[in-house]
Amino acid sequence: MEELETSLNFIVLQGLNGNEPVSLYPLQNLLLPFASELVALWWVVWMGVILFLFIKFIVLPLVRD
Amino acid sequence: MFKNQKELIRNQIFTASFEQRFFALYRKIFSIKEIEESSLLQWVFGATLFSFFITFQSWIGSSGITTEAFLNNDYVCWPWFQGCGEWYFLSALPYGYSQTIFYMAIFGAMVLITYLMWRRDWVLAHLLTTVLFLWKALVMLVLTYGMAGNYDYYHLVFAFVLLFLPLKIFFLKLTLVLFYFLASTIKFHEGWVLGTYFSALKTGLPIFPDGTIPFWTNMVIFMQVIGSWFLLSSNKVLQRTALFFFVTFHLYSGTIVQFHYPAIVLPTLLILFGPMYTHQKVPLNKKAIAGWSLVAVLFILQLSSVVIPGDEKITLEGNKYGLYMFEANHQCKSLVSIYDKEGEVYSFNRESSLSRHRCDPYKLWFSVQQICKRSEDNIDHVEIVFDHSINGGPFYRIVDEQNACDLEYKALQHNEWIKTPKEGAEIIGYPVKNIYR
Repeated sequence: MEELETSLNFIVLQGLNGNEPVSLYPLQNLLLPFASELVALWWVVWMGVILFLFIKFIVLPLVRD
Repeated sequence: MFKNQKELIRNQIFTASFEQRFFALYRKIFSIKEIEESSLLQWVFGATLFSFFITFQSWIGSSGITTEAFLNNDYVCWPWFQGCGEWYFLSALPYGYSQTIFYMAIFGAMVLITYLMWRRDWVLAHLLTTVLFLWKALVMLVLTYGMAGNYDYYHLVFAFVLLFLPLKIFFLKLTLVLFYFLASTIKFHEGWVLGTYFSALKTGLPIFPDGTIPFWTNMVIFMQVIGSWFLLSSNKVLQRTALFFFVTFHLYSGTIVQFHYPAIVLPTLLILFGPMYTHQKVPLNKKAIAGWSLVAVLFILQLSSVVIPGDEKITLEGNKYGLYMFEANHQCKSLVSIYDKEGEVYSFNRESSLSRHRCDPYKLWFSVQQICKRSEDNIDHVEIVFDHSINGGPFYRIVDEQNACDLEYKALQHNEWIKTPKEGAEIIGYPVKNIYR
């Protein structure tokens, strides 16, 4: 696990004394540069699912009838 | 049939012709015949009643909407009903008995509903359950911003469909699937795509190794976006696989969220999609208009936070209009400095290290507004500072205002006084791992 710089100003809220700094795991570090692309991809998939369902279960049956 | 009708409790108590006409009309308007004829809906009715029990057993001891909460400025109203506290009329223990008396009356109503269900008088059971529904909706949507959880949204919508809509079975199934699908949108964020929500927790992810967090979080997103629709499939293998996943998901998530959420969702999930499941065609007739309108409203509410500019995970603007469970892991601290007209300063610090506690600047704003209004003659000005970290990211100073009394909160737009990192919110430090509660 990658350690954060110790020179950073850590804010330790009440009840969190002794907890280690937040850091990323290797798989997270690997995905980090593509995070915004992954978010965009999920939105595209989400909208694709709506479009698919809307056409298959609403538009096409209405057109057929 | 005639004998059965005569045995119904409502036909024994309410014998006048206008009463009979009222019940006949009531039964027709709310499509209660569907409940009378479907054992599946009768089971859902029981699950819905159970969810009311779960809700009210946590509300009976809550001070959320009591006169004491109003007097102590320990309450928050929705942006659209700022004077909600003036309507509080209950007193909770240890200050008074009115709230416990009120909820024990509700408990009595729940026992009576159970009896009416057993006697198969679904009209009277429906009528009394509607009273419970109206109270819950009033509390959640009008009287307070702070007492309901996301699971209460699920319950309220299930209850609404069951009680008031035609084509109840289809739209109950659709709304449950839709909840998974809509709730996925809050996960389209670093907190879930990278899984930083969980890696920022001291306890990490339950059961699975922390190094695998992004795999599991993205799998949940995949199942919510795509897998959830297979709950409605005519293919038995796909349908059962999806059901198995979501049952496992609720049992697993219960290791974090505990009983409340699974207790509200799991029974309805199992009743609708378990052994009693039958595939249904999508209704596209006039009868379905009310149901489809509800679907449209759910979409609009869910996407309202996306439409408001800025990251709603950090500003919390519009966050509560749709589903928001596990939207971000929060840490925050605030400082309120009240300057009176004599030149004295009174300062209050607040901190929250609990991941589930939404650090909502609106709540701070509301609290300060009450102070400003109540002590108008004595207060010169109030300064507020609010620092917020999400998913283990930096603490940003998102609010730093010299005169909070003059601030306005816009419910459906971005508020300029709440700064996002893109708007230049200053980084003031970094968090350590926190805890889930």
